[in-house]
Amino acid sequence: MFVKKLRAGPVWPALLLCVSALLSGCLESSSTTVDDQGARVSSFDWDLPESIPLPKEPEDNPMTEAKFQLGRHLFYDRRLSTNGTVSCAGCHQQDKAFSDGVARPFGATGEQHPRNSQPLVNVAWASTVTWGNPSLGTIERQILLPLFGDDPVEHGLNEANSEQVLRSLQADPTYGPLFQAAFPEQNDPLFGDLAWDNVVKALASFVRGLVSFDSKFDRGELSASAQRGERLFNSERLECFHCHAGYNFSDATVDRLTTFNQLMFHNTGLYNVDGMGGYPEPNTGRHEVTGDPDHMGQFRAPTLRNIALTAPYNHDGSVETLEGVIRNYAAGGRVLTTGPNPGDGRMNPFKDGFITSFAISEQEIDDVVAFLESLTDESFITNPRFSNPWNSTGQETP
Amino acid sequence: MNKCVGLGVVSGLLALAGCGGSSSSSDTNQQSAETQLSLPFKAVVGTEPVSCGTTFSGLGTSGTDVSFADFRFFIHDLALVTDQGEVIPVSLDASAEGQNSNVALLDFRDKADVNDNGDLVDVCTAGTDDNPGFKDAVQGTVTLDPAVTIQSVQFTLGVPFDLNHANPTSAEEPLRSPGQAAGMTWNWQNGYKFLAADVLPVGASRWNLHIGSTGCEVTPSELEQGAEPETCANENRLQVTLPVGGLDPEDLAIQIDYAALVSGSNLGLDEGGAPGCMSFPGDPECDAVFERLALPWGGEPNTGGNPNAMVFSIVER
Repeated sequence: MFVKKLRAGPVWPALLLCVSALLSGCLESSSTTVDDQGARVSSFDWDLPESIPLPKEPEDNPMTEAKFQLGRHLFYDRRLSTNGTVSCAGCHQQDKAFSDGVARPFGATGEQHPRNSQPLVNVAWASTVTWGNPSLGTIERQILLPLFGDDPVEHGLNEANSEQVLRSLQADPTYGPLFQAAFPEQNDPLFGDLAWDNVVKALASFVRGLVSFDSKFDRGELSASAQRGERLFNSERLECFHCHAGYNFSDATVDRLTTFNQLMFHNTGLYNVDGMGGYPEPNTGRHEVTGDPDHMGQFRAPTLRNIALTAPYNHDGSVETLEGVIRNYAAGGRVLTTGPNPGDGRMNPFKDGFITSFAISEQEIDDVVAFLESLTDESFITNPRFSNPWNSTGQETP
Repeated sequence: MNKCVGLGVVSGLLALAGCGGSSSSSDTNQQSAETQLSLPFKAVVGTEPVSCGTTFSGLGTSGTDVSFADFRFFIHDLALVTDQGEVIPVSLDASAEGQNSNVALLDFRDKADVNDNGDLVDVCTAGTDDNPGFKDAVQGTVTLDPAVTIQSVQFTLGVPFDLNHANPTSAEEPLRSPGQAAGMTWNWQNGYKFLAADVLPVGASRWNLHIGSTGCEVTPSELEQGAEPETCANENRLQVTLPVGGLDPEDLAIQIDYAALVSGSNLGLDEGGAPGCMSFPGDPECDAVFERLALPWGGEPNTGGNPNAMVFSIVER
């Protein structure tokens, strides 16, 4: 019954996915929940098209504009790092849909990350929030990784510097009113016992509020080439729509209407370093966390919204262009004959069943790329709400 | 440390407590008495105490020289076991530093740099002052019938499951991060490091030893609200039971020996996976360490440890 509220176009792929999953017998652990209360209730103005269901909000961190604005200041604040060199915005730049344009970025202390920076687009709808970790279900928990993780070091916050970093925030008069407005139920949200918890909750609120549903695709302004690309995208020949399903172009999507939820990760045959399906360490995907051999090389299908802005591609940034991604899928996997990780990904035994080879012409590749480019949301990357707030204070970005 | 030695001794074995001040809370058994207990832990490398800024020589299979970067571990479910097999729980003193009513964080990094604000600037690797988080004893109370004979001490190395996967930024100390558990959270695995024993080998790269639960995949229903797994594929909680033996109970302490822990490992080499052993299945550096700890590993059952390398033991205070 809820489905009727949704626009038919983007929803059908999601339904097809469910059916195909049932038919193929590859259903994983699932649950059924019905949330028919508060489906359209939020104290936050999500500014969504009618057709898009609201995302879930954590019970202990409901969205508010004040938390969003505090989080926006923190997101752009380099003081949240061991040496004042790295803010969230360093690897998540608005003009690139909050990705960074490099294959694998460097952290505050010079360690290179094994993964490609994820764009931050409609994260609120993501069922899990990193490339391969099936145990990270909330942005709040994920944010602890870049801030405090030691393998690799990103922001480099730790036991020895976290108090100093907090003091530097406390010393900035900008933050007192922002914290008070964001956490009015607390006596002293900036200096009190929950200051770090508040930092994390505010950052999560800003990221959760980065919403993009205003592309040419959404407005129905597809070029002839993009329309041909859309048909190819949704064809049984290319099979793109199975994993990049639904209104957010990812099968790892949940919202308040979700009644059927499963963890979605896929091996797309990018590597086969040992002839037995191995991916190069440490990027073994879902397997890295679960240790389950069958999870080797499984990664979450990212949303394709704004995908033209987020090159290079795949979990390690090892594919430079969208054309390259499409060619890998057309080949049924990637064959690497040179470099540090040679192997025939087409023969990866853990490869997803939808990654089969298909024939595609150069014109058709151009058409699919044109369709993907139609998912670019210009208003998202220029929206002042998402931009660096320190610029407007006359204060240098800290 | 033992400012009240000799008070409130109920039986000879209870001097294990060392720190008396008993207050009777009798129920049906008039003779049972609640007694305060301060149980020391010692971290050593062979015969030397673990300390920051010290180079320990000849460790592991290649005789590597190392200095410590971290040496901390959580314990819970501390108990005394009688000769009849009765397990008598020790209630942790929630008001004592570095512990709450459920877990205690032992911290053997003895040095730290602290600035004028009282903030930690560095711990262990460049420290010059006493680390304010240093903790080498657990405080608790236990109710004992004087007629029973205590045969062993028991505890679990780890953090209880329900606390292991909760939000660390608002957790009760010593589980809060940032806070006392900073550096002990293991966010990508969604839990805490139960044991962190990280060393800087001379002439080689850092060799970390992190014991913790792995394979803690959440189910979709839990992804709806927060991320708290129901189970972990590899729990890796280690229950340690140590016979008190013939030692004078007043002199008892629990010892953990890093030299024994890594006696089957080459600290100058990393053959794959994370640097050192971070409990991840398939990490070649974990085989020997898990065997020493008598933890199940790689589908193999607990072998009971290595009799020639006793990681935990009861020693004199």
